Amino acid sequence: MRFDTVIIGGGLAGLMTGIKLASAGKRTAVVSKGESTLNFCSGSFGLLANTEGGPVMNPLEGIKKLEAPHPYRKIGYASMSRLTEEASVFLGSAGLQFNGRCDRNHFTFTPFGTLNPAWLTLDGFALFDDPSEIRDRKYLVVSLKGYLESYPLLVCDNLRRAGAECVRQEIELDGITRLRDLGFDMRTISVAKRMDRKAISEFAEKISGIVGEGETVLIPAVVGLESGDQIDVLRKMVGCRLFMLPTLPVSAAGFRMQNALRHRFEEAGGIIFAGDAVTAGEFEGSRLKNVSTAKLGSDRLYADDFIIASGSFFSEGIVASPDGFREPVFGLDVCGPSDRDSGFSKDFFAPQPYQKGGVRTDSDFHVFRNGSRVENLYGVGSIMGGFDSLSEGSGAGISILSGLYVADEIIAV
Amino acid sequence: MSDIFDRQYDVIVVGGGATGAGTARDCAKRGLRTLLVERFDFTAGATGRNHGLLHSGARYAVTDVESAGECIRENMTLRRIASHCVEGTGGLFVTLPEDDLSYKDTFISACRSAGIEAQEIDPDYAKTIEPALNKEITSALTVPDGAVDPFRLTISNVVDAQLHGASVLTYHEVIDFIRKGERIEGIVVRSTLAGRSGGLLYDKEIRGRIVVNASGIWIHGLSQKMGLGVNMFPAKGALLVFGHRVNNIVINRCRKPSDADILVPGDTISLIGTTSSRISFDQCDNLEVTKEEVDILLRGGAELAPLLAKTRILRAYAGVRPLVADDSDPTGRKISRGIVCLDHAERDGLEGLVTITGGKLMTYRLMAEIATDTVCHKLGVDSECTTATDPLPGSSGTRESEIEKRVFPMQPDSNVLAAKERHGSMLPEEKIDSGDDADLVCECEKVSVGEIRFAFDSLYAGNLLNLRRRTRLGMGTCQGGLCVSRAASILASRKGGEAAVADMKEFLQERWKGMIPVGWGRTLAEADFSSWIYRGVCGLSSTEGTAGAENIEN
Repeated sequence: MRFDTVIIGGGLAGLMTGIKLASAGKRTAVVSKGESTLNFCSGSFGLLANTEGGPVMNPLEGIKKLEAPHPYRKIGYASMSRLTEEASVFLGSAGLQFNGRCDRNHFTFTPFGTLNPAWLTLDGFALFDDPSEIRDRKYLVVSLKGYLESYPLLVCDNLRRAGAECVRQEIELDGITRLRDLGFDMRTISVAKRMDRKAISEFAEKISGIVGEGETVLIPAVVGLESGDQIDVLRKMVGCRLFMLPTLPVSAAGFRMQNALRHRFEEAGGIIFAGDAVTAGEFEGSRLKNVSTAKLGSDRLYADDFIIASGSFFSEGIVASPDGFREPVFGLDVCGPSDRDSGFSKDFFAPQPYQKGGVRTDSDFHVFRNGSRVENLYGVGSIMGGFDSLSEGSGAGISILSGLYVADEIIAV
Repeated sequence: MSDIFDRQYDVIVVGGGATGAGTARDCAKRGLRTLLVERFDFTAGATGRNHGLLHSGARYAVTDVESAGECIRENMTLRRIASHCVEGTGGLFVTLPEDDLSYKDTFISACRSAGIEAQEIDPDYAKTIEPALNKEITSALTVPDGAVDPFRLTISNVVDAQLHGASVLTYHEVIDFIRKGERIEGIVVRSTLAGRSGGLLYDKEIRGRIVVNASGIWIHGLSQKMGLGVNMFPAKGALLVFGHRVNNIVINRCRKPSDADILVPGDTISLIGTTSSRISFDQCDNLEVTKEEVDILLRGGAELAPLLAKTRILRAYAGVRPLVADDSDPTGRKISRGIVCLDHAERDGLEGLVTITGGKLMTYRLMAEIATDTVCHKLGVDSECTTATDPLPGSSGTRESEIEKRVFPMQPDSNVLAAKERHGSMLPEEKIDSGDDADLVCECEKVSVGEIRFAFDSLYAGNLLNLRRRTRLGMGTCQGGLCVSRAASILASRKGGEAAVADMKEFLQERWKGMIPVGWGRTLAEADFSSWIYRGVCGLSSTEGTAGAENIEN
């Protein structure tokens, strides 16, 4: 099979790149093992919240403080601002309405009710220009009986400490409790799947019954699995300010994003090899000629360009062994701490050097193999090494922008 | 709590490991007014950092027949009195091609002298009953080994001590003794929760007629405070926990005891151990597993069960063997074999103090009996020991019948079964099988809301680290990544949000420590995921909440 571009990995980076290429008329395929870490996304994307010099309020300006080989430095100030606009357009075209801007971080709630800085936040979640906006607000924190993925006590405690008034209420929904009694698992996706029209009406009715004057309602993010419209429906029924609090993985918002982006990619003409994995590649000189997959047998996927967006450690785009890191599909050159001793900080909450481990890329995101640049294979997203996206709060931004940047390069040729 | 400090005790037992808990139980059962004091949490020391092997004694048969005999007798006793903590897996001693085959015969006859049933079986048959075995084995013997959960065993002893009137005090460290001339009249304790949410710093005196020092390796330092020379030698032993039960029968190497030659199945996992290296006393409170130890354990493990080379390692941990010098040796360098009970009135002319050490987890009950006999003798109390015959709380009735009651032909509830396995008859079924109580918090180990509440209410769990030791919460494949926040949410209703978050951080920090030495493959992937959740999504940082004052306990 022949494509213009084959993308390895169906997460945020792979799908956004795929959507752009397919929309530009490129014959594009995505090979995706299955669920991606997009499913774990809480509802917000970060662009840049911290550099080694401290917190950043304006991500675009903050980029200047990053060390030179950082992906954002490769993309450059001018392209950054254009590509962030483009990102919002592509996300919107997939039916994902995000709020936020690239030159000023906003703040959104964490699952525990503290605030995290963010670039884009999905509609339905609260966002603040400044943390002080919480002060003196009145909140009603609603939890669902039998659903343990929200933390109303922690949320109330944190909101009060931030100066807000806060009460909490547990609501019992017949439809949900019945399922619990039947032995269904009560995790986010199962509960969200059962938030049909009937359950939402019951939910709205019960919230209306308890909400006080001037209170903002915070509910766990179990609404809006299929579409953001569900949240609007709930809001209209309740008739007061209502936002969702993010949940831990697997999140309903992440699940929706994953599905929406896949759907948009296919709508734009892209092809997904789902549940399949690239196992090897055939190289010819400095070019990758084709790749084989677990399911295609002796068939090969040929393309002019290839993109590897197979993620970091959790997704096994990068695999660590007792002796170091490797990129398991092509054996690409990696960078980062070289041994067990230097990879870890003893403090779980401190930056972990191993998280800088990943594939080496040049100024245009080409990867290297045996020391030589591969002309038509690009690395995008968290598979890349050399930066600490968790500390920077830059993971989603790097995934999206490096992908869109590489797509530009491919389209321009 | 103030009540605890004001009471007058017959005996104060120092150390909340198996030996201390067992001694408190025995003392209380014999009618003594008893206090059990622990610096941090029960089982936080060597008791909670070993194989969890119910030794048949075979391992010691060749080198130390007396210890071997004690082991097999206590083995049989524990099966009776602690059935809910014991799993009779059976054990195998196998010879590999590189081992000396003639050792086997020495071994069999030594076992016979010690009263341990060691039976030679066809190696091919051994491989069918334990498929994880190395296919190259040249001989195999069965012995009555098993698995014992030291956490549950200890807590059961504490619960029984309290049922018999004992007082219990955790998170208080003995910093000094009340001494009148040549007599110890009590202890001075300091709270160790200071610096954590709500924890105050204070010292208190507690009076008792006899103090039993059962603090393991920390006996050394405590004895020094009184100018007594009880020479201890800290020997670190490292172990690795694998992500699932690779073997169902304990596998031992049939050779002179050495590193990495015991593979024990326990609950949902398997454990390989151990190593042995002398460390200094200041290292005892912060044990780290080295790269070299990990390599030794992995190599040795794969020799016993080749599958281990490809099995995910959950974590690495280490404990300190409290080896004690033999009083009869003038150089003080010779290690004592077997149980050592010192009446310091006889030995050093200091009245009111007894030290118990030198045994093993397997012989904790016998050690407790010897220590309690000494205490009773000194107090002039004439009372029989009943700990070898009376079942521990949780083990009344046979375990089989407990479980059979639950296995309805229609729908066996695995969550309830798991909890019953852990707590036996101690845990009333109605506490876990309906409504909110049945909601599952930890999927890996099947720990429900009800079981967590039970641990908080009845098993002296006050924080999330305690909870892990009581229930196995967070001990499975996710290492707490997905369940610790749920448990923290339950805890928050008891001690507030801020303290619950601080506990959650401590818990994650403690898990991380065990993952660093084996930070590769899926282990690192899971750790990466956890850091992504808690640092990223939840925004927790080093500075947020209180610092982990319990780090020392990790």
